Amino acid sequence: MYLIHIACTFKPVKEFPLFSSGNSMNRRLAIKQAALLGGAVAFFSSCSEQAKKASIALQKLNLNAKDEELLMKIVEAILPASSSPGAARLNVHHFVLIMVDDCLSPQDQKVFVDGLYSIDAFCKRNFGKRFEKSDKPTQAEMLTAIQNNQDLKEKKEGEIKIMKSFVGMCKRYSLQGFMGSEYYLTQIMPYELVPGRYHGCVPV
Amino acid sequence: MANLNIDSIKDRSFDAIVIGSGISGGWAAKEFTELGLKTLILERGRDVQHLKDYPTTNMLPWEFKHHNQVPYDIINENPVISKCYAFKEDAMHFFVKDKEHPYVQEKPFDWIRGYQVGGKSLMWARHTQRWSDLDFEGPARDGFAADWPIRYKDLTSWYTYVEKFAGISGNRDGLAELPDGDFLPPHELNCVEKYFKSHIAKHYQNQRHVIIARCAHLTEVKDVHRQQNRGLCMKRDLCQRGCPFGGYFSSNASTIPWALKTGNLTLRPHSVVESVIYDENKGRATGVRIIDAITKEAIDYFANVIFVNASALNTNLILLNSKSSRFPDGLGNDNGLLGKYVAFHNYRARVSGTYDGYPNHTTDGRRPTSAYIPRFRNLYRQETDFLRGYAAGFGAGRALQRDLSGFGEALKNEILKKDLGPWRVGSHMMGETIPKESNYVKLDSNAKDEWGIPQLKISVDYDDNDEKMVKDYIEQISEMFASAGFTDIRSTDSKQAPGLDIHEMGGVRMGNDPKTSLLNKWNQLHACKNVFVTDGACMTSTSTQNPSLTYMAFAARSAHYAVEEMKKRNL
Repeated sequence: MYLIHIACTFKPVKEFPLFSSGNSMNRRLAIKQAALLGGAVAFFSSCSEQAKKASIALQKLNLNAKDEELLMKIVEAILPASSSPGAARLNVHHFVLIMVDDCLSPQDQKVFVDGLYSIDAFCKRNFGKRFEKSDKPTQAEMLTAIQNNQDLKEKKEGEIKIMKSFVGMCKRYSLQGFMGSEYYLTQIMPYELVPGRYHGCVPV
Repeated sequence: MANLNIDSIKDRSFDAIVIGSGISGGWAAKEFTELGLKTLILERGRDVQHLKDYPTTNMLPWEFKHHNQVPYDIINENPVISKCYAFKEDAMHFFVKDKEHPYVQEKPFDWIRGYQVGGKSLMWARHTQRWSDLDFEGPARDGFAADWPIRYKDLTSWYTYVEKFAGISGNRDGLAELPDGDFLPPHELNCVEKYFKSHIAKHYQNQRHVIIARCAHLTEVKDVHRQQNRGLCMKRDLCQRGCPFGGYFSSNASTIPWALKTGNLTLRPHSVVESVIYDENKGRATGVRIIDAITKEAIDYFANVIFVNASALNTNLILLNSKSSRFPDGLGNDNGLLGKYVAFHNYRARVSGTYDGYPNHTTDGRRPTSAYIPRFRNLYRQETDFLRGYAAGFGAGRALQRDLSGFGEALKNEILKKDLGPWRVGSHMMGETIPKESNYVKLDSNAKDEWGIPQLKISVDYDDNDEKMVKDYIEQISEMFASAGFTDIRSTDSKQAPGLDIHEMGGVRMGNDPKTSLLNKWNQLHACKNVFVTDGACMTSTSTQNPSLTYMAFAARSAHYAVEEMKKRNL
């Protein structure tokens, strides 16, 4: 789905020059080219890893192992490991993929995939650094800036809208996946299948 | 061959046939089989056996692939059932999918159905409030619908009878408008609900009340429940999945296994009833024609007495489709009123708020019910610019308070916190709607279902009385909340279509006069005495109480009456 099949009829491009240089001239050019190409940037990068499929079976999304790895980094940035496990260790990215695959409309799925494909470039354009290459605190700052539409250099409202929606979906499903996980519901907020009681007034 | 045919007819002959295995059909079958009648239950859906067929009952939250959310394709294909609050990943297998059983909405109507053994008794919300004469006398006092042919005294002992067996928890509140029953211990009101209760009693000079809802949960196991192999309600609050303890009442956990134990019950799932067979010569119904849901074969079953308990609107459909030269417009329909005067409960409005009291207290465990505010409007006389009134659900509780605006460590720290927010309070309305001839169901002249049976066309809507009542509910509950010191009071009117309340009633109403009603005071068709209707279709008016308990009482009462009449050879 989402053009990947079509894109992959082209010869995969291993080195894509758009973001190879940091100088401002090239950067402006890069943005221009990226805007022209739209999602194309992303599917080339996807194709180079196409042989490796995502590790869980998906019905509608056509995402590969590299996309999955990026998503894993995003969920880990949203809920990182600390004294307790982070989202990646709880396989929250798998839950996010399942929910996007099964519980979103085709329109929202497209926004999700577009967002996943373009987050790296978006961050590079707006924060000067690719998302994947940034450390976790920086990634969290990037996600916060996108969510709140703050400090963005992006001029294209459409790009901002997609990225904001994408980050929103990732956050919502990461929270749902984390707080609905076996770890969380046994270690943090133990869930009782059979409480056997209701007390209407107990001290906090 | 002739002998074979006779044998075959004999195999298909019973003393009683009950159409439908839901909450009222289960009761009819229990009474008949206990009284020694060979009884056949025809159920259009599949069999669902207690315990065995509750696939999700012991699943943990994380074991649901979508954490209890319904996938997009299912919602997209089933816009009606997806609106139902209980249609979630854990119980969606108990609900009818729109696509499989289409109907015609002349006006928007969300018809929520459960086609399986046990029907909706598996997923019902289990509230069981008795009616009083303030309800039964409503139509006569206020001049709408038809006078009920019975009063509270006719049903009192039957309420007690079904309550004892089903197991109804409740507090003896001594309210005229909501008579006490034969109760097991009540569920507990929490501190804010108790505070609200005492505040409201004082503030409204004991004219308004807040009580714990009466509900079909075993808060104590008596011998009669032990004999049903049912156990104590363990307060899982996962009832819609089917209860592994039999802690709440359902046909599956209670009446059907009880009836099977007598050896007198034949349960036939996958039996879509096409019509009740009327014999012109005998002047009575002789049986029921079904279409086997799987083989599509038409088969006739025969009995002396037939109980139609197919759920309110499907009972209408079956009777409308039971045509003969004596009854060209449907069985018993001499006055043309069959299918008309359908009503429901108005569940549109909600009010919520916050309470800063009891900051150092909370609740522990879960409770599968709520508090309840019985009707207080127009109880003894007409006081408002609308007829009748509403009951309300009420509940209070505290949720975790978290700031989820951040990302990264800040967000993670928030979800590890266990700080409680303030008490939140909420209420929803259950308004009486006035049955009208213009709110009706009929057979669609073209559309048929997979079994060749005409689809039901539903034309039911709100009216001005309902709009006024929504407004009054919001005003009154908001005022009650404000007077109790609740803050941040918000109200919503969902404008939801009729049907989503799952309390549709009427169309085959009871009454003394055969010119204005279909059923007599024993729930017998005036014009065909061996056919009884004791489900929601029989309701002359709706009042505000959750109706299932009254259906159960009607079913038990009518079954006993039918057996007596058979003994007297009147049937």
